[in-house]
Amino acid sequence: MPTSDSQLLEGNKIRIGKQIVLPFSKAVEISLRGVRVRFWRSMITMSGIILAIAFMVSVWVGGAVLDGLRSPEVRERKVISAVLGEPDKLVYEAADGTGKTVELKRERVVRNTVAFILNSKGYDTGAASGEEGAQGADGRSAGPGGAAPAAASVQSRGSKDLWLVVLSLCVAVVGIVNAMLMSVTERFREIGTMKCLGALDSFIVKLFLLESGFLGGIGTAIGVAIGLLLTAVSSLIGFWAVRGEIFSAISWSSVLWGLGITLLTGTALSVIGTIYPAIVAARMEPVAAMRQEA
Amino acid sequence: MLGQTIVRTKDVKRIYTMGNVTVEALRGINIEIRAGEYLSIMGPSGSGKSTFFNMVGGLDKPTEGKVYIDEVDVAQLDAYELAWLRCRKVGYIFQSFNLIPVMTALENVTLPMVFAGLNNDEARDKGMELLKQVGLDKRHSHKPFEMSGGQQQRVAIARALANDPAIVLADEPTGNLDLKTGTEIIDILKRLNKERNVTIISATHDMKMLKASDRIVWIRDGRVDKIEKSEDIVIQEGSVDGEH
Ligand SMILES: Nc1ncnc2c1ncn2[C@@H]1O[C@H](COP(=O)(O)OP(=O)(O)O)[C@@H](O)[C@H]1O
Ligand SMILES: [Mg+2]
Repeated sequence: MPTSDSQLLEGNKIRIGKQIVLPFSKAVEISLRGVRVRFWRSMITMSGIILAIAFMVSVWVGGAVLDGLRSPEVRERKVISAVLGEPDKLVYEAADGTGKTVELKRERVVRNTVAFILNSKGYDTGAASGEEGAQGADGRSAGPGGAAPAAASVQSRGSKDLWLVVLSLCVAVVGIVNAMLMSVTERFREIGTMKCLGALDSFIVKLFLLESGFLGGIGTAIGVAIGLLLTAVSSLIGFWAVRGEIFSAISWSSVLWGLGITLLTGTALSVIGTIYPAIVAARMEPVAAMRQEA
Repeated sequence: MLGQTIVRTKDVKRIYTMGNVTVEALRGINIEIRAGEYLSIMGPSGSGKSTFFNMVGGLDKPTEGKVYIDEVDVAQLDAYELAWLRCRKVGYIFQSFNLIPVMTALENVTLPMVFAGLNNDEARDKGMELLKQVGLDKRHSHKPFEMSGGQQQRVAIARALANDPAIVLADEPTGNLDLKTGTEIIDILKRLNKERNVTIISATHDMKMLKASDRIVWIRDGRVDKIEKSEDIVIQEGSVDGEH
Protein backbone atom coordinates (compact mmCIF):
# COMPACT_ATOMS: atom_id res chain seq x y z
CA MET A 1 0.00 0.00 0.00
CA PRO A 2 2.08 2.89 -1.26
CA THR A 3 1.33 6.21 0.33
CA SER A 4 2.76 9.60 -0.44
CA ASP A 5 3.55 12.09 2.26
CA SER A 6 0.66 14.36 1.41
CA GLN A 7 -1.75 11.48 1.70
CA LEU A 8 -0.25 10.68 5.09
CA LEU A 9 -0.93 14.19 6.21
CA GLU A 10 -4.49 13.88 5.12
CA GLY A 11 -4.79 10.52 6.84
CA ASN A 12 -3.42 12.15 9.93
CA LYS A 13 -6.39 14.48 10.04
CA ILE A 14 -8.95 11.83 9.40
CA ARG A 15 -7.71 8.91 11.38
CA ILE A 16 -6.25 10.36 14.53
CA GLY A 17 -8.36 12.57 16.74
CA LYS A 18 -7.46 14.73 19.71
CA GLN A 19 -8.00 13.45 23.18
CA ILE A 20 -10.66 15.38 25.06
CA VAL A 21 -9.94 17.12 28.34
CA LEU A 22 -12.08 15.45 30.98
CA PRO A 23 -14.60 17.59 32.83
CA PHE A 24 -13.41 18.65 36.26
CA SER A 25 -16.13 16.65 37.97
CA LYS A 26 -14.66 13.44 36.55
CA ALA A 27 -11.27 14.21 38.04
CA VAL A 28 -12.98 14.92 41.36
CA GLU A 29 -14.87 11.63 41.15
CA ILE A 30 -11.76 9.58 40.41
CA SER A 31 -9.60 11.34 42.99
CA LEU A 32 -12.24 10.86 45.70
CA ARG A 33 -12.19 7.15 44.96
CA GLY A 34 -8.44 7.07 45.59
CA VAL A 35 -8.82 9.15 48.74
CA ARG A 36 -11.44 6.79 50.14
CA VAL A 37 -9.42 3.64 49.54
CA ARG A 38 -6.08 5.02 50.70
CA PHE A 39 -7.56 7.05 53.54
CA TRP A 40 -5.72 5.78 56.63
CA ARG A 41 -2.40 5.55 54.90
CA SER A 42 -2.79 9.05 53.59
CA MET A 43 -3.62 10.32 57.06
CA ILE A 44 -0.18 9.15 58.14
CA THR A 45 1.25 11.19 55.27
CA MET A 46 -0.79 14.09 56.56
CA SER A 47 0.27 13.63 60.19
CA GLY A 48 2.75 16.51 59.86
CA ILE A 49 0.08 18.95 58.80
CA ILE A 50 -2.33 17.56 61.40
CA LEU A 51 0.16 18.25 64.18
CA ALA A 52 1.15 21.64 62.84
CA ILE A 53 -2.48 22.68 62.53
CA ALA A 54 -3.24 21.35 66.01
CA PHE A 55 -0.40 23.52 67.26
CA MET A 56 -1.60 26.54 65.30
CA VAL A 57 -5.11 26.14 66.69
CA SER A 58 -3.95 25.66 70.25
CA VAL A 59 -1.83 28.79 70.03
CA TRP A 60 -4.66 30.74 68.49
CA VAL A 61 -7.43 29.58 70.79
CA GLY A 62 -5.13 29.40 73.80
CA GLY A 63 -4.26 33.03 73.13
CA ALA A 64 -7.94 33.86 72.87
CA VAL A 65 -8.52 32.23 76.25
CA LEU A 66 -5.76 34.26 77.88
CA ASP A 67 -6.84 37.48 76.25
CA GLY A 68 -10.38 36.76 77.31
CA LEU A 69 -9.41 36.16 80.91
CA ARG A 70 -7.31 39.31 80.89
CA SER A 71 -10.07 41.48 79.60
CA PRO A 72 -11.04 44.35 81.92
CA GLU A 73 -14.53 42.98 82.54
CA VAL A 74 -13.27 39.62 83.73
CA ARG A 75 -10.54 41.20 85.78
CA GLU A 76 -13.02 43.47 87.49
CA ARG A 77 -15.32 40.64 88.34
CA LYS A 78 -12.71 38.17 89.44
CA VAL A 79 -9.80 40.47 90.32
CA ILE A 80 -7.41 38.84 87.97
CA SER A 81 -4.19 40.51 87.11
CA ALA A 82 -1.70 39.62 84.50
CA VAL A 83 1.85 39.19 85.60
CA LEU A 84 4.41 41.39 83.93
CA GLY A 85 6.78 39.59 81.63
CA GLU A 86 5.00 36.32 81.96
CA PRO A 87 2.25 36.28 79.41
CA ASP A 88 0.94 32.89 80.40
CA LYS A 89 0.66 33.65 84.07
CA LEU A 90 -2.40 35.14 85.70
CA VAL A 91 -2.90 36.06 89.30
CA TYR A 92 -6.34 35.61 90.62
CA GLU A 93 -7.40 37.20 93.89
CA ALA A 94 -9.97 35.00 95.50
CA ALA A 95 -13.29 36.80 95.56
CA ASP A 96 -14.17 35.65 99.04
CA GLY A 97 -12.74 38.84 100.48
CA THR A 98 -9.84 37.17 102.31
CA GLY A 99 -7.35 38.80 99.94
CA LYS A 100 -5.78 35.45 99.21
CA THR A 101 -4.18 35.20 95.79
CA VAL A 102 -3.86 32.20 93.57
CA GLU A 103 -1.27 32.03 90.84
CA LEU A 104 -2.35 30.41 87.63
CA LYS A 105 -0.09 29.10 84.98
CA ARG A 106 -1.37 27.75 81.74
CA GLU A 107 0.01 24.33 81.02
CA ARG A 108 2.57 24.32 78.27
CA VAL A 109 1.81 20.79 77.18
CA VAL A 110 0.95 21.55 73.58
CA ARG A 111 3.72 23.96 72.87
CA ASN A 112 6.35 21.76 74.46
CA THR A 113 5.16 18.73 72.54
CA VAL A 114 5.43 20.50 69.21
CA ALA A 115 8.74 22.06 70.19
CA PHE A 116 9.95 18.58 71.02
CA ILE A 117 8.91 17.29 67.60
CA LEU A 118 10.60 20.20 65.87
CA ASN A 119 13.74 19.74 67.97
CA SER A 120 13.83 16.05 67.17
CA LYS A 121 13.70 16.93 63.48
CA GLY A 122 16.72 19.14 63.93
CA TYR A 123 14.98 22.50 64.24
CA ASP A 124 16.15 24.40 67.30
CA THR A 125 13.20 26.22 68.73
CA GLY A 126 14.63 26.92 72.14
CA ALA A 127 11.09 26.64 73.41
CA ALA A 128 11.38 23.38 75.23
CA SER A 129 14.29 24.43 77.42
CA GLY A 130 14.07 28.16 77.92
CA GLU A 131 10.59 28.25 79.33
CA GLU A 132 10.96 26.97 82.87
CA GLY A 133 13.41 29.63 84.07
CA ALA A 134 10.89 32.43 83.82
CA GLN A 135 8.64 30.71 86.28
CA GLY A 136 8.31 31.86 89.82
CA ALA A 137 9.77 35.33 89.33
CA ASP A 138 8.37 38.31 91.16
CA GLY A 139 4.78 37.82 90.26
CA ARG A 140 1.48 39.44 91.09
CA SER A 141 2.79 42.98 91.06
CA ALA A 142 0.72 44.31 88.23
CA GLY A 143 -2.07 46.28 89.72
CA PRO A 144 -5.44 47.07 88.20
CA GLY A 145 -3.86 49.63 85.90
CA GLY A 146 -1.56 47.17 84.13
CA ALA A 147 -3.35 47.03 80.83
CA ALA A 148 -0.58 48.47 78.69
CA PRO A 149 2.21 46.15 79.88
CA ALA A 150 -0.16 43.24 79.50
CA ALA A 151 -0.83 44.17 75.89
CA ALA A 152 2.90 44.41 75.24
CA SER A 153 3.48 40.97 76.65
CA VAL A 154 0.64 39.59 74.59
CA GLN A 155 2.44 40.98 71.59
CA SER A 156 5.71 39.28 72.47
CA ARG A 157 3.91 36.02 73.09
CA GLY A 158 2.19 36.44 69.75
CA SER A 159 5.33 36.92 67.72
CA LYS A 160 7.13 34.06 69.38
CA ASP A 161 4.20 31.73 68.82
CA LEU A 162 3.77 32.96 65.28
CA TRP A 163 7.37 32.10 64.58
CA LEU A 164 6.81 28.59 65.96
CA VAL A 165 3.58 28.16 64.01
CA VAL A 166 5.21 29.23 60.75
CA LEU A 167 8.14 26.94 61.42
CA SER A 168 5.95 23.94 62.12
CA LEU A 169 3.84 24.63 59.01
CA CYS A 170 7.01 24.76 56.93
CA VAL A 171 8.12 21.44 58.36
CA ALA A 172 4.70 20.05 57.52
CA VAL A 173 4.88 21.26 53.90
CA VAL A 174 8.36 19.79 53.45
CA GLY A 175 6.96 16.57 54.88
CA ILE A 176 4.13 16.62 52.36
CA VAL A 177 6.45 17.25 49.41
CA ASN A 178 8.60 14.37 50.58
CA ALA A 179 5.73 11.97 51.17
CA MET A 180 4.07 12.87 47.88
CA LEU A 181 7.28 12.33 45.93
CA MET A 182 7.51 8.90 47.52
CA SER A 183 3.91 8.23 46.66
CA VAL A 184 4.61 9.19 43.02
CA THR A 185 7.56 6.78 42.84
CA GLU A 186 5.44 4.11 44.44
CA ARG A 187 2.59 4.64 42.02
CA PHE A 188 4.73 4.79 38.86
CA ARG A 189 2.99 1.74 37.45
CA GLU A 190 -0.47 3.14 38.13
CA ILE A 191 0.44 6.49 36.58
CA GLY A 192 2.07 4.82 33.57
CA THR A 193 -0.97 2.61 33.09
CA MET A 194 -3.32 5.58 33.22
CA LYS A 195 -1.27 7.28 30.53
CA CYS A 196 -1.40 4.12 28.43
CA LEU A 197 -5.17 4.21 28.80
CA GLY A 198 -5.32 7.74 27.48
CA ALA A 199 -4.87 10.05 30.46
CA LEU A 200 -3.50 13.49 29.60
CA ASP A 201 -0.71 15.01 31.68
CA SER A 202 -3.10 17.66 32.94
CA PHE A 203 -5.40 14.94 34.24
CA ILE A 204 -2.58 13.35 36.27
CA VAL A 205 -1.75 16.76 37.75
CA LYS A 206 -5.39 17.38 38.62
CA LEU A 207 -5.68 13.94 40.17
CA PHE A 208 -2.76 14.50 42.52
CA LEU A 209 -3.69 18.07 43.42
CA LEU A 210 -7.31 17.14 44.13
CA GLU A 211 -6.28 14.16 46.22
CA SER A 212 -3.99 16.30 48.32
CA GLY A 213 -6.63 19.02 48.55
CA PHE A 214 -9.16 16.59 49.98
CA LEU A 215 -6.62 14.96 52.26
CA GLY A 216 -5.29 18.34 53.35
CA GLY A 217 -8.82 19.52 54.14
CA ILE A 218 -9.62 16.42 56.15
CA GLY A 219 -6.21 16.45 57.85
CA THR A 220 -6.63 20.09 58.78
CA ALA A 221 -10.09 19.42 60.20
CA ILE A 222 -8.63 16.63 62.33
CA GLY A 223 -5.80 18.94 63.39
CA VAL A 224 -8.33 21.62 64.34
CA ALA A 225 -10.27 19.11 66.42
CA ILE A 226 -7.12 17.91 68.18
CA GLY A 227 -5.98 21.50 68.74
CA LEU A 228 -9.32 22.51 70.23
CA LEU A 229 -9.33 19.47 72.48
CA LEU A 230 -5.79 20.11 73.70
CA THR A 231 -6.55 23.78 74.32
CA ALA A 232 -9.70 22.93 76.20
CA VAL A 233 -7.86 20.46 78.41
CA SER A 234 -4.82 22.66 79.01
CA SER A 235 -6.96 25.75 79.69
CA LEU A 236 -9.14 23.86 82.11
CA ILE A 237 -6.13 22.46 83.95
CA GLY A 238 -4.23 25.73 83.93
CA PHE A 239 -7.10 28.02 84.83
CA TRP A 240 -9.20 25.65 86.89
CA ALA A 241 -9.84 28.36 89.51
CA VAL A 242 -11.56 30.55 86.94
CA ARG A 243 -12.99 27.76 84.78
CA GLY A 244 -16.43 29.33 84.84
CA GLU A 245 -15.09 32.41 83.09
CA ILE A 246 -13.27 30.73 80.24
CA PHE A 247 -16.16 30.20 77.87
CA SER A 248 -17.80 33.51 78.39
CA ALA A 249 -14.49 35.35 78.24
CA ILE A 250 -13.45 34.09 74.83
CA SER A 251 -14.24 36.13 71.74
CA TRP A 252 -15.86 33.35 69.75
CA SER A 253 -16.20 35.29 66.55
CA SER A 254 -12.46 35.79 66.35
CA VAL A 255 -11.89 32.13 67.20
CA LEU A 256 -14.25 30.98 64.43
CA TRP A 257 -12.65 33.39 62.01
CA GLY A 258 -9.27 31.95 62.97
CA LEU A 259 -10.47 28.39 62.48
CA GLY A 260 -11.72 29.24 59.01
CA ILE A 261 -8.36 30.74 58.09
CA THR A 262 -6.65 27.68 59.55
CA LEU A 263 -8.76 25.33 57.44
CA LEU A 264 -7.91 27.28 54.30
CA THR A 265 -4.23 27.47 55.20
CA GLY A 266 -3.94 23.74 55.84
CA THR A 267 -5.69 22.79 52.61
CA ALA A 268 -3.76 25.31 50.56
CA LEU A 269 -0.42 24.25 52.00
CA SER A 270 -1.05 20.61 51.24
CA VAL A 271 -2.02 21.46 47.65
CA ILE A 272 1.04 23.71 47.29
CA GLY A 273 3.26 20.94 48.65
CA THR A 274 1.91 18.60 45.97
CA ILE A 275 2.50 20.84 42.94
CA TYR A 276 6.03 19.66 42.31
CA PRO A 277 5.32 15.94 42.93
CA ALA A 278 2.26 16.18 40.66
CA ILE A 279 4.38 17.60 37.83
CA VAL A 280 6.90 14.81 38.34
CA ALA A 281 4.03 12.31 38.10
CA ALA A 282 2.60 13.89 34.96
CA ARG A 283 5.98 13.81 33.23
CA MET A 284 6.33 10.11 33.90
CA GLU A 285 6.56 8.13 30.66
CA PRO A 286 3.80 5.65 29.89
CA VAL A 287 6.44 2.97 29.32
CA ALA A 288 6.87 3.02 33.09
CA ALA A 289 3.82 0.77 33.16
CA MET A 290 5.79 -1.88 31.30
CA ARG A 291 8.70 -1.96 33.68
CA GLN A 292 9.05 -5.30 35.35
CA GLU A 293 10.70 -4.55 38.67
CA ALA A 294 8.11 -4.42 41.42
CA MET B 1 -9.92 -12.26 7.37
CA LEU B 2 -6.97 -9.96 6.97
CA GLY B 3 -7.49 -6.36 6.01
CA GLN B 4 -5.08 -3.66 5.01
CA THR B 5 -1.83 -2.78 6.72
CA ILE B 6 -2.46 -1.41 10.17
CA VAL B 7 1.08 -1.18 11.52
CA ARG B 8 4.18 -0.63 9.45
CA THR B 9 7.70 -0.02 10.67
CA LYS B 10 10.53 1.28 8.54
CA ASP B 11 14.12 0.72 9.67
CA VAL B 12 13.19 1.26 13.29
CA LYS B 13 16.18 1.71 15.56
CA ARG B 14 16.13 2.45 19.24
CA ILE B 15 19.27 3.29 21.10
CA TYR B 16 19.19 3.70 24.86
CA THR B 17 21.81 5.98 26.31
CA MET B 18 22.74 5.77 29.94
CA GLY B 19 25.64 8.05 30.67
CA ASN B 20 28.27 7.02 28.14
CA VAL B 21 26.90 3.52 27.72
CA THR B 22 24.67 2.98 24.73
CA VAL B 23 22.50 -0.04 24.14
CA GLU B 24 21.20 -0.68 20.66
CA ALA B 25 17.94 -2.35 21.57
CA LEU B 26 16.52 -2.29 18.04
CA ARG B 27 18.81 -2.33 15.02
CA GLY B 28 16.48 -1.71 12.12
CA ILE B 29 13.14 -3.48 12.15
CA ASN B 30 10.92 -3.65 9.09
CA ILE B 31 7.56 -5.23 9.63
CA GLU B 32 4.11 -4.93 8.15
CA ILE B 33 1.15 -6.06 10.20
CA ARG B 34 -2.29 -6.52 8.66
CA ALA B 35 -5.57 -5.65 10.34
CA GLY B 36 -7.14 -8.69 12.01
CA GLU B 37 -3.86 -10.54 12.26
CA TYR B 38 -2.67 -12.43 15.34
CA LEU B 39 1.05 -11.85 15.43
CA SER B 40 3.45 -13.33 17.95
CA ILE B 41 6.83 -11.86 18.60
CA MET B 42 9.26 -14.46 19.86
CA GLY B 43 12.73 -13.97 21.13
CA PRO B 44 14.95 -14.45 24.12
CA SER B 45 14.87 -12.06 27.04
CA GLY B 46 16.60 -8.81 26.20
CA SER B 47 16.19 -9.26 22.45
CA GLY B 48 14.11 -6.06 22.18
CA LYS B 49 10.52 -7.30 22.22
CA SER B 50 9.28 -4.82 24.79
CA THR B 51 11.17 -2.00 23.12
CA PHE B 52 9.50 -2.87 19.83
CA PHE B 53 6.14 -2.92 21.57
CA ASN B 54 6.60 0.54 22.97
CA MET B 55 7.21 1.77 19.43
CA VAL B 56 4.19 0.07 17.93
CA GLY B 57 1.95 1.20 20.78
CA GLY B 58 2.91 4.84 20.55
CA LEU B 59 4.51 4.70 24.00
CA ASP B 60 8.01 5.52 22.80
CA LYS B 61 9.55 7.05 19.70
CA PRO B 62 12.26 5.45 17.59
CA THR B 63 15.74 6.94 17.59
CA GLU B 64 15.77 6.36 13.84
CA GLY B 65 13.20 5.13 11.36
CA LYS B 66 9.43 5.43 11.27
CA VAL B 67 6.45 3.74 12.81
CA TYR B 68 3.13 4.09 10.99
CA ILE B 69 -0.10 3.17 12.68
CA ASP B 70 -2.94 3.26 10.20
CA GLU B 71 -0.44 4.94 7.87
CA VAL B 72 0.06 7.83 10.29
CA ASP B 73 3.61 8.57 11.39
CA VAL B 74 3.51 8.27 15.17
CA ALA B 75 6.43 10.68 15.60
CA GLN B 76 4.31 13.49 14.12
CA LEU B 77 1.58 13.27 16.74
CA ASP B 78 1.22 15.83 19.51
CA ALA B 79 0.43 14.95 23.12
CA TYR B 80 -3.35 15.08 22.61
CA GLU B 81 -3.21 12.89 19.52
CA LEU B 82 -0.93 10.41 21.24
CA ALA B 83 -3.31 10.18 24.18
CA TRP B 84 -6.18 9.69 21.74
CA LEU B 85 -4.25 6.94 19.98
CA ARG B 86 -3.46 5.17 23.24
CA CYS B 87 -7.02 5.55 24.40
CA ARG B 88 -8.94 4.42 21.32
CA LYS B 89 -6.68 2.87 18.77
CA VAL B 90 -4.54 0.61 20.92
CA GLY B 91 -5.33 -1.62 23.88
CA TYR B 92 -2.51 -2.71 26.18
CA ILE B 93 -2.11 -5.90 28.15
CA PHE B 94 0.83 -6.13 30.51
CA GLN B 95 2.73 -9.00 32.03
CA SER B 96 2.00 -7.66 35.50
CA PHE B 97 -1.68 -6.93 34.73
CA ASN B 98 -1.40 -3.30 35.92
CA LEU B 99 -4.95 -2.91 37.14
CA ILE B 100 -5.47 0.26 39.16
CA PRO B 101 -5.39 -1.14 42.71
CA VAL B 102 -7.93 1.25 44.20
CA MET B 103 -10.55 0.51 41.56
CA THR B 104 -12.96 -2.39 41.16
CA ALA B 105 -12.89 -4.66 38.12
CA LEU B 106 -15.69 -2.67 36.50
CA GLU B 107 -14.08 0.68 37.28
CA ASN B 108 -10.84 -0.55 35.77
CA VAL B 109 -12.60 -1.61 32.60
CA THR B 110 -14.54 1.64 32.29
CA LEU B 111 -11.57 3.94 32.98
CA PRO B 112 -10.50 4.16 29.31
CA MET B 113 -14.14 4.86 28.40
CA VAL B 114 -14.16 7.71 30.90
CA PHE B 115 -11.03 9.08 29.24
CA ALA B 116 -12.79 8.74 25.90
CA GLY B 117 -15.69 10.83 27.20
CA LEU B 118 -18.44 8.22 27.61
CA ASN B 119 -20.98 8.97 30.31
CA ASN B 120 -21.27 6.76 33.38
CA ASP B 121 -24.29 4.74 32.24
CA GLU B 122 -22.92 3.95 28.81
CA ALA B 123 -19.57 3.02 30.30
CA ARG B 124 -21.18 0.82 32.91
CA ASP B 125 -23.24 -1.14 30.39
CA LYS B 126 -20.35 -1.58 28.02
CA GLY B 127 -18.01 -2.51 30.86
CA MET B 128 -20.36 -5.19 32.14
CA GLU B 129 -20.71 -6.56 28.62
CA LEU B 130 -16.93 -6.78 28.27
CA LEU B 131 -16.56 -8.42 31.68
CA LYS B 132 -19.16 -10.95 30.59
CA GLN B 133 -17.11 -11.71 27.51
CA VAL B 134 -14.14 -12.65 29.69
CA GLY B 135 -16.38 -14.50 32.12
CA LEU B 136 -16.05 -12.11 35.05
CA ASP B 137 -19.35 -10.22 35.13
CA LYS B 138 -20.10 -11.64 38.59
CA ARG B 139 -16.86 -10.19 39.92
CA HIS B 140 -17.39 -6.65 38.72
CA SER B 141 -17.22 -5.17 42.21
CA HIS B 142 -14.03 -6.96 43.25
CA LYS B 143 -10.78 -5.14 43.70
CA PRO B 144 -7.66 -6.48 41.96
CA PHE B 145 -6.15 -7.89 45.17
CA GLU B 146 -9.30 -9.99 45.65
CA MET B 147 -8.73 -11.76 42.35
CA SER B 148 -6.31 -14.40 41.11
CA GLY B 149 -3.67 -13.58 38.53
CA GLY B 150 -5.69 -15.16 35.74
CA GLN B 151 -8.78 -13.20 36.72
CA GLN B 152 -6.80 -9.95 36.88
CA GLN B 153 -5.43 -10.61 33.43
CA ARG B 154 -8.94 -11.23 32.12
CA VAL B 155 -10.05 -7.89 33.56
CA ALA B 156 -7.03 -6.36 31.83
CA ILE B 157 -8.15 -7.91 28.54
CA ALA B 158 -11.62 -6.46 29.00
CA ARG B 159 -10.03 -3.10 29.75
CA ALA B 160 -7.82 -3.30 26.66
CA LEU B 161 -10.97 -3.69 24.58
CA ALA B 162 -12.82 -0.84 26.27
CA ASN B 163 -12.82 1.59 23.36
CA ASP B 164 -12.92 -1.03 20.58
CA PRO B 165 -9.28 -0.61 19.62
CA ALA B 166 -8.00 -1.76 16.27
CA ILE B 167 -4.86 -3.17 17.86
CA VAL B 168 -4.29 -5.03 21.12
CA LEU B 169 -0.70 -5.18 22.30
CA ALA B 170 0.16 -7.86 24.81
CA ASP B 171 3.66 -7.94 26.24
CA GLU B 172 4.16 -11.41 27.71
CA PRO B 173 0.54 -11.64 28.86
CA THR B 174 1.07 -15.12 30.28
CA GLY B 175 4.48 -14.42 31.81
CA ASN B 176 3.16 -14.26 35.38
CA LEU B 177 0.61 -17.05 35.03
CA ASP B 178 0.72 -20.82 35.41
CA LEU B 179 0.32 -23.12 32.44
CA LYS B 180 -3.42 -23.70 32.65
CA THR B 181 -4.34 -20.07 33.32
CA GLY B 182 -1.98 -18.95 30.60
CA THR B 183 -3.72 -21.24 28.12
CA GLU B 184 -7.08 -19.78 29.10
CA ILE B 185 -5.80 -16.27 28.50
CA ILE B 186 -4.48 -17.22 25.09
CA ASP B 187 -7.78 -18.87 24.22
CA ILE B 188 -9.63 -15.69 25.14
CA LEU B 189 -7.25 -13.57 23.07
CA LYS B 190 -7.65 -15.89 20.09
CA ARG B 191 -11.43 -15.86 20.43
CA LEU B 192 -11.55 -12.07 20.58
CA ASN B 193 -9.21 -11.91 17.60
CA LYS B 194 -11.67 -14.05 15.62
CA GLU B 195 -14.92 -12.54 16.90
CA ARG B 196 -13.98 -8.89 16.83
CA ASN B 197 -11.38 -9.04 14.13
CA VAL B 198 -9.02 -7.08 16.37
CA THR B 199 -5.33 -7.16 15.53
CA ILE B 200 -3.36 -8.84 18.28
CA ILE B 201 0.36 -8.38 18.67
CA SER B 202 1.84 -10.39 21.46
CA ALA B 203 5.36 -10.85 22.73
CA THR B 204 6.07 -14.13 24.34
CA HIS B 205 8.36 -17.00 25.20
CA ASP B 206 5.34 -19.21 25.37
CA MET B 207 5.06 -21.98 22.76
CA LYS B 208 1.30 -22.15 23.35
CA MET B 209 1.09 -18.70 21.87
CA LEU B 210 2.45 -20.00 18.61
CA LYS B 211 -0.57 -22.14 17.84
CA ALA B 212 -2.90 -19.20 18.29
CA SER B 213 -0.86 -16.94 16.03
CA ASP B 214 -1.15 -16.39 12.32
CA ARG B 215 2.46 -15.34 12.02
CA ILE B 216 5.49 -15.51 14.25
CA VAL B 217 8.26 -12.95 14.14
CA TRP B 218 11.49 -14.14 15.66
CA ILE B 219 13.63 -11.36 17.09
CA ARG B 220 17.24 -11.70 18.10
CA ASP B 221 19.53 -8.89 19.23
CA GLY B 222 17.20 -6.20 18.00
CA ARG B 223 16.84 -7.65 14.51
CA VAL B 224 14.18 -9.72 12.86
CA ASP B 225 15.63 -13.19 12.66
CA LYS B 226 12.87 -14.78 10.60
CA ILE B 227 9.14 -14.52 10.02
CA GLU B 228 7.12 -17.70 9.88
CA LYS B 229 3.53 -18.62 9.19
CA SER B 230 2.07 -20.70 11.98
CA GLU B 231 1.26 -23.56 9.59
CA ASP B 232 4.97 -24.06 9.09
CA ILE B 233 5.92 -24.08 12.73
CA VAL B 234 3.35 -26.31 14.39
CA ILE B 235 5.05 -29.42 13.10
CA GLN B 236 8.46 -28.65 14.49
CA GLU B 237 7.20 -27.58 17.91
CA GLY B 238 9.91 -28.02 20.47
CA SER B 239 11.98 -26.00 22.85
CA VAL B 240 12.14 -22.26 22.59
CA ASP B 241 15.51 -20.65 22.63
CA GLY B 242 14.56 -18.07 25.14
CA GLU B 243 13.89 -18.78 28.74
CA HIS B 244 12.69 -16.33 31.32
N1 LIG C 1 14.79 1.99 29.53
C1 LIG C 1 15.91 1.34 29.13
N2 LIG C 1 17.11 1.91 29.33
C2 LIG C 1 18.22 1.27 28.93
N3 LIG C 1 18.27 0.09 28.32
C3 LIG C 1 17.09 -0.54 28.10
C4 LIG C 1 15.86 0.06 28.50
N4 LIG C 1 14.86 -0.78 28.15
C5 LIG C 1 15.45 -1.84 27.58
N5 LIG C 1 16.79 -1.70 27.55
C6 LIG C 1 17.75 -2.65 26.96
O1 LIG C 1 17.32 -2.92 25.65
C7 LIG C 1 17.45 -4.29 25.36
C8 LIG C 1 16.10 -4.87 24.96
O2 LIG C 1 15.24 -4.88 26.05
P1 LIG C 1 13.71 -5.31 25.99
O3 LIG C 1 13.08 -4.63 24.84
O4 LIG C 1 13.10 -5.11 27.32
O5 LIG C 1 13.83 -6.87 25.67
P2 LIG C 1 12.76 -8.02 25.89
O6 LIG C 1 11.41 -7.41 26.12
O7 LIG C 1 12.83 -8.82 24.65
O8 LIG C 1 13.20 -8.82 27.06
C9 LIG C 1 18.04 -4.95 26.60
O9 LIG C 1 19.40 -5.08 26.43
C10 LIG C 1 17.72 -3.97 27.69
O10 LIG C 1 18.71 -4.03 28.68
MG1 LIG D 1 10.12 -7.62 27.74
